Amino acid sequence: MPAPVPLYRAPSTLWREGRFGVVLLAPGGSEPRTLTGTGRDLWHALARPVSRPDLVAGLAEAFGVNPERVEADISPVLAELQRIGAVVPEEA
Amino acid sequence: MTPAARLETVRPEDVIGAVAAHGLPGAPPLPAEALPDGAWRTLFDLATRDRLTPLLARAVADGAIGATARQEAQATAAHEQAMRLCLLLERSLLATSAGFEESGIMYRVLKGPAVAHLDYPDPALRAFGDIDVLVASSAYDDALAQLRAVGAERRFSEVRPGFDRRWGKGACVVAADGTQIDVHRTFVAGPFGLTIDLDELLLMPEWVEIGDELLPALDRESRFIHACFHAALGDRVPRLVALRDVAQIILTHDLDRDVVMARARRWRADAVIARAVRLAWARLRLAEHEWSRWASAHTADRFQTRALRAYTSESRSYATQAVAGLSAVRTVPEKVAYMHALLAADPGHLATRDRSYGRRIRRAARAFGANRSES
Repeated sequence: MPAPVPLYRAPSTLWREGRFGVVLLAPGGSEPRTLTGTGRDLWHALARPVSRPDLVAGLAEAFGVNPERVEADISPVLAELQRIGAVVPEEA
Repeated sequence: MTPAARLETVRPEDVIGAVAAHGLPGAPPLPAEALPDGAWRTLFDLATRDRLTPLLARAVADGAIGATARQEAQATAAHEQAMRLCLLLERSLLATSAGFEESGIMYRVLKGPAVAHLDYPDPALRAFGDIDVLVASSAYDDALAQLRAVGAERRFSEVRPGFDRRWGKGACVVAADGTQIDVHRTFVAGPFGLTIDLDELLLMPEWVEIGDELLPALDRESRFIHACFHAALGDRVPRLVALRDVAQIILTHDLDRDVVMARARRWRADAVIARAVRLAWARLRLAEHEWSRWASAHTADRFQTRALRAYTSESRSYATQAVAGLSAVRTVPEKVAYMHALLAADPGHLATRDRSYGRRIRRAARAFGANRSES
């Protein structure tokens, strides 16, 4: 089974952070999006390329919750970030 | 430690200055208790007007200013809105830069995006509402043509074809996506814009990273001088965000005053620097500093004293600044050409401004009279 391709936040994504969370504008996005709660932590965890299993494990450890819970929380957010091009595979 | 300001002595107009200074060494204290709703509304409106919502939100988040849960939520929401706009503007800037580079047009990113990334510890602390770029005089027409080719329209017509390229500050254009882009040839209209060595201004850039692109900005000394121009000359009542920029660069970076002042003196603008620093220190109520002591002791020469009045007096207007610019134009033939261009305006420009040559000449005479009577 091939190793999972590491993901990371696209360098071309523009973003800022404040109490409101992380607001970002992806290259292919029409409007800025705001990440709050676990979305903010996910964004920071993707500062460098990381495989999905390592991403989930890292967040699970940081928050003291089981990995299945983290996977359920981040899956839709991660899918959307990839869809708009804010998160890309390392080889892109 | 200075005791926090007591609530009953606090006015929003004073608090906003302290908000503008938040995070700087020597900044004054903020009220520890939440302001009454009426005072908070005034403070919030002032912060919005002066693009200080990021600093207000940060002051609340840091616990430096007391706030109710509702006030905190309002400050946070306003910060988010301001940052959303900044991202959209940066995207527009990247498109503009790409167009210039493809056309071989040399440019420098000015003000908001450059200062936010290069001079503030966190770009989220500095809001901006438009894009400013500087181009060489020789490339000015090409830059405007390039922007027109991608759907941008000029907001105000030129006084006379060729005036901007030779003597003007620049032009304001509105891009197809509604972004306002100020294309500068120099920092300001009028005399202080005409004494800057524009070739020197476009020498070694400092690179600002926006997304994954590196864009050329002014070096720190010129960036500081421009911040001073903006603070001292830009508005009759200086915007607090402009004053913050001046103080931000002085207090958080190793700015060499000798280098800055040598450049400012070459550009006959040392009085502009002094005025900006005095205004920043007074309005932000910062602790005394070697720069503020220098600024307080500075005296302007005759040219700069007279030139400053075009920007700071009650009769301040584009017309008075344009007429005052005559004193900075060097040769007699140039002066004649300059006045001719101002008076014999292009019919299109005339139609939107004075409606007749007679009115225009009368307006110029009033501006000329105002300029002389204040000297």
